[in-house]
Amino acid sequence: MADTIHPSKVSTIIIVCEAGVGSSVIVVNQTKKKLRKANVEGYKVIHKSARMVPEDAQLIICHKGLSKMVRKRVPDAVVVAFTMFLNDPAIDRVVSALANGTEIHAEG
Amino acid sequence: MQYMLTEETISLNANASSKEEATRMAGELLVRGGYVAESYIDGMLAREETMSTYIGNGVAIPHGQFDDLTLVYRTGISVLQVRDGVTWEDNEKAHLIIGIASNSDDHINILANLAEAIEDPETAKLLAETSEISVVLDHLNAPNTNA
Repeated sequence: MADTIHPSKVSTIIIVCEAGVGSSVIVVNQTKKKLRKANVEGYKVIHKSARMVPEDAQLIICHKGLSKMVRKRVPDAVVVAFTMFLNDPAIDRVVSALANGTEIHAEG
Repeated sequence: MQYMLTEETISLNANASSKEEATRMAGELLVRGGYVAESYIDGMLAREETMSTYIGNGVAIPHGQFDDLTLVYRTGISVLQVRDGVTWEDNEKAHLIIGIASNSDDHINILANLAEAIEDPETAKLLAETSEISVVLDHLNAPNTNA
């Protein structure tokens, strides 16, 4: 299981929820906003259903209730789990690691 | 042009005594709008059983699960306003229940518009209290360019 990843190895941040149509869209919107605010550019932020996560995913953000399933599906990805859909500090930690060029740690 | 939210799928000052009842009502509005098949509502209820769709700011966004996406006819939302709130999680009440019908990535921008509005606590509060349908339409609507 991957524990950390350096921002230089990340091109796409995948936000995952069960169906991939509701909750993940809220989180995509927020994450994009936070990246803009931190002046972080060059990363794609997309949303996917947990069943459609590509096998070469590098960095995944998902709700805690899905993290086990997602890790099983893509063991090589760094998975950061959040519990709150709005303003979860786990997402702030990802954004600041991207902004500072420091390792992103798997969580939750 | 078709819009993702119409008067027909908005219910203000509704009464719901449980999360199940509110989810069902939001789902029935989606059926009325012609966005989903009736059985999509069962998927919405099942989703709440496994993982709550409460997102904060007094807002819940019930929707179906992956296997229910074939029951979506076109993208749209419904709005159920319960002024006294419905207990959604242990310490959280939802005042605005927004049913979501979507089965395609093409609609991400439309849903992002919705996300933008309800992320703001003041807009969420305004929508939870207003008695004007036009206020709801102004904040949540977006043209459905893929309809």
